Amino acid sequence: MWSRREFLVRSGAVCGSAIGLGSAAPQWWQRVALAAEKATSGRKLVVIELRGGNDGLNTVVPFADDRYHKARPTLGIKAEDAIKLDDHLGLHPEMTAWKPLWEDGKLAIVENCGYPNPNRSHFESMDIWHAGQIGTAATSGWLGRAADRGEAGELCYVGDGAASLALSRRLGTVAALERLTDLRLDEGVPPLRLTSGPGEEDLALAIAKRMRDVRKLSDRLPQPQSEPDPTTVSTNEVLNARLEIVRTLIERDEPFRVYYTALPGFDTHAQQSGTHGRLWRQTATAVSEFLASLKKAKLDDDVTVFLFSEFGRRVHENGSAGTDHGAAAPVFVLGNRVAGGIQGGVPNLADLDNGDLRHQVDFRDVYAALLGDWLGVDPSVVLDRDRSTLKLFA
Amino acid sequence: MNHTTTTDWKQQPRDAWLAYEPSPDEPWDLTKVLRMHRRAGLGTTWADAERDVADGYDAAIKRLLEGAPTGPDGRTAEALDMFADAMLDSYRAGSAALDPVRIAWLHRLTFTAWPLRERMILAWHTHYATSETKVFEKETLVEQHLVQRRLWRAPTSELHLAMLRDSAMLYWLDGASNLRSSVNENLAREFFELLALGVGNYSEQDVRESARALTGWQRVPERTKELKYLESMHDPGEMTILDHTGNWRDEDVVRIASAQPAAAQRIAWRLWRTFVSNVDEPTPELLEGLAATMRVDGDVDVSHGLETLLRSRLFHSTAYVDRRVPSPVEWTVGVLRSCEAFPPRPNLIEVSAAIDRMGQRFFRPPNVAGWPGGMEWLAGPGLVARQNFAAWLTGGESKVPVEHWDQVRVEHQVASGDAEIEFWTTLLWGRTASSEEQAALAEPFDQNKPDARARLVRAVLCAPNAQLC
Repeated sequence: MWSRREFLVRSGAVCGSAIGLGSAAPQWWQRVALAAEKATSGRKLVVIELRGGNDGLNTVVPFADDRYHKARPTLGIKAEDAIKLDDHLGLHPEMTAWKPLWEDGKLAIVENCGYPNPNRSHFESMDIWHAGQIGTAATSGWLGRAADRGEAGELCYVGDGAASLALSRRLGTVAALERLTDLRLDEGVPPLRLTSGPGEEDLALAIAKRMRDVRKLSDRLPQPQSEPDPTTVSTNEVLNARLEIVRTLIERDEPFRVYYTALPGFDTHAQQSGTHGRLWRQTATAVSEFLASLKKAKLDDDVTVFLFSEFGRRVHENGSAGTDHGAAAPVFVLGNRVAGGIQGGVPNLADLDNGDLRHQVDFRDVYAALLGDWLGVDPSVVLDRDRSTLKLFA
Repeated sequence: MNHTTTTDWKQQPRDAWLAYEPSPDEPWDLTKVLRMHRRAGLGTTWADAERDVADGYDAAIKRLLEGAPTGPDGRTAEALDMFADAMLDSYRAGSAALDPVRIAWLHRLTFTAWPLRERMILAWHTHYATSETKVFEKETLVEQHLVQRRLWRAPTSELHLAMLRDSAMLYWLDGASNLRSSVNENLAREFFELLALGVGNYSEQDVRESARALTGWQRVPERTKELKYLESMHDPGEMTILDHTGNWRDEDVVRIASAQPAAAQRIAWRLWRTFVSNVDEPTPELLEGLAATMRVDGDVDVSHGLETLLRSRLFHSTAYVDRRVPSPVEWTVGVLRSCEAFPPRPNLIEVSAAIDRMGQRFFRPPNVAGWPGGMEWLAGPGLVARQNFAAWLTGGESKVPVEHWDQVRVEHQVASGDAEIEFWTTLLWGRTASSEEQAALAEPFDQNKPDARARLVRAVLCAPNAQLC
């Protein structure tokens, strides 16, 4: 079956990412197509990767469950401290910035997210989340594959190091930067003249392509006089700084539909309490300020934010007032168009798998909803499913 | 046959690691010398490359493996090491910051007479990645580096055990809060996954039981750098680790792990990434072929594996040439040494800042798996930073005099014009330019301009080919 977009493309109503003119389709059909195109093409997805394995149980706290408090004698968050979402679950007390978003129905939480046979290695599990598939060696990412279809638009990574595997694609390149000035080429850099190498598979050709793409982007980006050095940015300001760049690029209407950024530090094996609280105060504040600034620019209808981590943590705290690697955990979707609420049930602490929560929702169902119901991409071209069982958007 | 393709070694994995011997078909020539230094050293000066051709393969490979008597600026190896140690000592005494240590390290790399040793130390720095973002006692990070320096080609079990008793490592991976009464799995898991065996070669139970075996080490008093083993904090119970049952401790975990077949493969993989390719993974047969040469008495002989690899037919063939992206440190230091652009001009503080922008900072790997390497070094900012560095080095701001770029070729008796284009591409790309490449470089090359030579070197360094080895 064709996706809606493929149907439109083949019927001549849509041409690439622009609306085709003078096609043979009847005018009413063109109007429908135009409306459909407009409805999704301006939409943007901002993904925030919480690196290290976020402790889901201390983020969305099952405060009404005695088993939780027994498993977490020193780390447990008391019922009276949690920000109540309903009579069973509450947010970490440092997440007050999300309270108004929750009350306005702009925060969706999908509980118990994971996949079969959970992998407890940071790298293996993150690869699975990035690839959007299990069991095969990951060579491309779920967002990269969507972009390769021409449907998810261009991709931009804002953070340290190389772009996430989630954005990895076969066609086209991914913009990657940590600061806007990272892509500023000195005037003395000569234009690229040498683009050929001895072989087809030559890496030099791939590098030449990257050089051309980065020069194009470099010419277009705003170039502030000065930006803080990332190694001196306070660890409590990392996400604010990165989302500020995303906001700048969205406001400039750059051609990116997917922005991807990350916050490290969630691998809390020891003395977790203070660290985890600081991380979530930062995350909740940065995301809510980001959404508020988009509202000011009247862009808040166009942006959805998605937060995930490679796994949750053990239900029982360890002996160093921390938690070891676990399995299922909640993910978060925020924005004006989001159907607020909790899906995926409550964590079932009575039925654990080797001390870990069992997953109730497959993470690919979340991806399918983000692709199909937000970005307008047929999930079946990217994932092993053609629709989501979740309803994340109003 | 004078062109050995990649496919050949995949089909003949046994032959790949046999010793290379110069022959009429595979002569020991300038191309091979440059390739060896670009991939296993830190670039080379033209004079050293010519010396290695003239002295023949045996002398050249021995010098690579055991170090040269003098560094690229003529100082003796002993003098260089003493100077580098003294620099490090003075900084360790005076300052709690790591920046001076980074500069001292960079200084040592730039002038070293034993680049192979430095390359292995860099490899261990990423293999046992530990970051200043969590380890606040900076001196422990320096101590860890010095242990890796001391044991750079020791049998694997020695370095593993030293790292499992290393203060920075045990704080970084929570081994110092892994106690009998309260087990913390972090160190045990990463030891198997990243340091010793690799994913798929141990079970979740092995992680849990090994975590118990690793109990007992603590920082006493807490948050100081000193690490102590407290018998009372060690779990005396019976554990089963990789099918071995007993009352185990850290040395037993290391012993049992190091005798696993996967242990040699893990280290062979690290050597492959370091010296062959960080873009292409080895085939299982090629990896096992190298690993098999390293298994000795239940341990992994790093020194022997290193020598096997660097003397191998595969290493000296064209297979996997230009399939490796040097790290920012390797690339930058290689450029300085090859171009004979020695500090104080350029200033290493500024060079260090440029390496930061390329995405690498000593003692600050992105995570426990170290720097990912390969083409990931060349994401947008990394590529921009390398080109900007080339522009800076050959421009006025680095204070390298503009005449330098002419003096180098004059010293090596290279004629002006096309010959100097060939000289710089050979030195900095490891091969001569094709006629199209030669033409592309010749077109803007106006010998009458005072900075023509600086611009030529800049163009060669900014080319995609210069980012590979």
